[in-house]
Amino acid sequence: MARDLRGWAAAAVVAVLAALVIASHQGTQWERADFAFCNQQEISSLDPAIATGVPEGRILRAVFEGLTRRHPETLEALPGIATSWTTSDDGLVYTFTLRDDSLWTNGDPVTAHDFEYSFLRLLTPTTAAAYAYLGWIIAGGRELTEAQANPPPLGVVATSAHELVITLAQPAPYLPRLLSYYPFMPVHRGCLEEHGSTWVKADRIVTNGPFKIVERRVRDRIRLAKFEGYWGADEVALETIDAFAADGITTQLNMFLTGQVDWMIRPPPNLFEELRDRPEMRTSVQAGVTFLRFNTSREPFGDPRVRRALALSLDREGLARDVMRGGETASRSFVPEGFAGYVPAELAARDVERARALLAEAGYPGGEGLPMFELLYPHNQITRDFCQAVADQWRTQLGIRIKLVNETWKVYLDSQKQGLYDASWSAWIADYLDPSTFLDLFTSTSANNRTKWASAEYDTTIERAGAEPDPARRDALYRQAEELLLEALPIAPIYQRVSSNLVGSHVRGFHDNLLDIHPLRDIAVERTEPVR
Amino acid sequence: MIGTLLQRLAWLAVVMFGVITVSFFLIRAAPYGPFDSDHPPPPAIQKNLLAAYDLDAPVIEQYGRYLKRAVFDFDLGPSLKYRDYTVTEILSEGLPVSVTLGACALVVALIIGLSAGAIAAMRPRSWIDTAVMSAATLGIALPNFVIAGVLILIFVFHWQLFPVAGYGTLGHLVLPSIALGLPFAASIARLFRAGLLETLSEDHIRTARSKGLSPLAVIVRHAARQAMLPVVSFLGPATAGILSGSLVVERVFAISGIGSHFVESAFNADYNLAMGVIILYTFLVSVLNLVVDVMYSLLDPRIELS
Repeated sequence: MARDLRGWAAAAVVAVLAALVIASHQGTQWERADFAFCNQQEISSLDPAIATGVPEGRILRAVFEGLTRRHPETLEALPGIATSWTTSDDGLVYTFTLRDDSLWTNGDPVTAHDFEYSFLRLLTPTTAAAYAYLGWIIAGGRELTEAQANPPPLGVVATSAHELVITLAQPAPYLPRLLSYYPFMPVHRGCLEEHGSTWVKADRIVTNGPFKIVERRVRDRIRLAKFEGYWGADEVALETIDAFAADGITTQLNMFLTGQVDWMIRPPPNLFEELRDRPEMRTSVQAGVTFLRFNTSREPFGDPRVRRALALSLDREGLARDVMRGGETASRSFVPEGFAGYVPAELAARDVERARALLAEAGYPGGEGLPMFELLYPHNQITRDFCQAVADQWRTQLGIRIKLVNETWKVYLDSQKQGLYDASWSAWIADYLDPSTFLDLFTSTSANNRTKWASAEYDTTIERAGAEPDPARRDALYRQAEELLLEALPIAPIYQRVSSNLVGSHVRGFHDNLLDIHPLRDIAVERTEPVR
Repeated sequence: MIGTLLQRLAWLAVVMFGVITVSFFLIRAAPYGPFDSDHPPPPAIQKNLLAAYDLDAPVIEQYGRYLKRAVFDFDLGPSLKYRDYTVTEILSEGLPVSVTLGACALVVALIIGLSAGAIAAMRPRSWIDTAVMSAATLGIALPNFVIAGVLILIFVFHWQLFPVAGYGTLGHLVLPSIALGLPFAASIARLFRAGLLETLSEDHIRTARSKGLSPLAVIVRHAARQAMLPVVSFLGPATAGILSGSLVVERVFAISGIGSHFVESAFNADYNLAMGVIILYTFLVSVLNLVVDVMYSLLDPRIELS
């Protein structure tokens, strides 16, 4: 009996295995897409109101289109679903004229009513949109999200199918650029109402951008195909796109090197020297800054002289050139270079003597008596090397003892939020190109301040800048705020970040820019030989 | 035997309940939440997010609701990180992938492990035995991402035989199966060799040899079954290990299984997904152990399931 059973069991095991292998390969055979890239991770959502993050943006910009879109090189606002717009004299009312030839993938026309519905949805509390606060520049937006009693009407009105009037709570000259950001992309009301929360499934979703979703396999890939009904379909070169969710950095590099993908974002920094000379390697300054936060509620950081001493003593050029090695540029400003019209304020140049004098003035001559403090950073090799170098500089220049502490990303964020740190590695990358995305951070009420530093003067300056309709005066006010920030130094800027990409030499229409945004709509491929 | 089986299944339910309860509270004891990020939204929006996912209620209340939904509706809730999916959708899309990879790895482990063990046992203490067993020791010691790296160097970059990453064709499965299966093959080889050597010294083997059977025939016909016992008892934990240990291999080869959720859902504070993965693995490991016990009693009638 046992012998029979054994034979039977063996056969059954083989049959089950074979069935599994065959079953799991049904319908997963893919032709190589015209263009494939590693999107770094599985995206959080295809719902423009729900999604957060950078990989999400790459997909959402391809499948949806807002009132405006970005110029792939200058990042200026280009007409998207809106063909033109006008502004009232006080800068508070924008009137958008929408094109009449744009369609949803189900054939419906895209109208101003779609935008009215979508903006209202973004700001409604039950939508639970993390980026709803970006819509708080619209009159009545904040009151709506915060579920305040008797909120004023939302300042978004479709006056006709092709005209949308947006009334702002305060002037925002960057509004046209902001509206290209994915939270402001439209969703199809009928699709949402029919399917509820499952409207985002690949076989249900209705979109209005240059590409449509063909298939989505969780943690594997999203397959896109050109949407022929898109108003600008003539300008779209790619027929199919694969966005792989591969998150291993070496895996992504392997996929690029073997031609499985045409674009890899952020190749491994430790291979930067080997990759630098490849024609496919592209690095470019980014609208982002790496800086140190000081917890001003803890000693010795309550003393501005200590903060200034720490900030003045650092060799930023050395840190950027020898430690980061990826083309980063030393920065003594908090707002990065490259924002049209805005000239960042600057901290004084490195001055170790002055730093020592300040420290002595604060009662710690030669670092004596200064308690050992912790420098917190999120756990990874780059931040570790960086913080070690910073600690070394402080130790040798100022005689200060530092303990390095690392935590996993979310724990690190939480420690910062709770103020459970002395000094901390930090970075900030712009959501859109405006000094406010940086300087709003350090108002006393900002959740992102996390330094416990509060200045009434700073708060009023930021408030006045936000309310100022004249762009030049507005920039001047923001600059004034940055000067205040660099005077008090609850933070010390170190370097401006860079973006790096490996882009196949057959790829056209890929432009380096400050936000590291590369709309798939504008990308083309020119292959001389077929891909493997 | 049926009674014993039922008893074991009742124990399984108790274990599942315990694991769910402990995990539920442990996960929520982490200092960070699912909606923390480096661009955190203002408090009003955080509140809306927590309310939307029913995370604003007291933990004990959340636990009650979770248990009720999980047990009566088999509803593990939405993923808090991959917001377009429910936990059930993620697991049911990823599990077949992980199981396929695991099954292939197990086949690799068995084929290589049993052959190596048999070869070593036929000439104990010869140079072949030493070589095979040294290789096996090395195989156990090497972490599978090192094996994966070496395989990629040889079979992707040197001889362009297999795709470097992804999932979809049989070719995509070859390297990951080997990388995942090799350490287990090494253990199997050692166990099978030891089992064979013990069995080969017994009387009925001497009889078989005296009949003039070749060493291979002796092993296959007379010794293998008994020598398999330690291997079989290893297969339960090995299968569990292959399934849960696939996270590294899945990452290196960009395979869309569930291995990586095992670690990442915890880092992301994706409470629901983390719970789902824990429940699934607890269930799989318990059931696999039960299956091994059943197989054990089938292979050797002297052993009773108790």
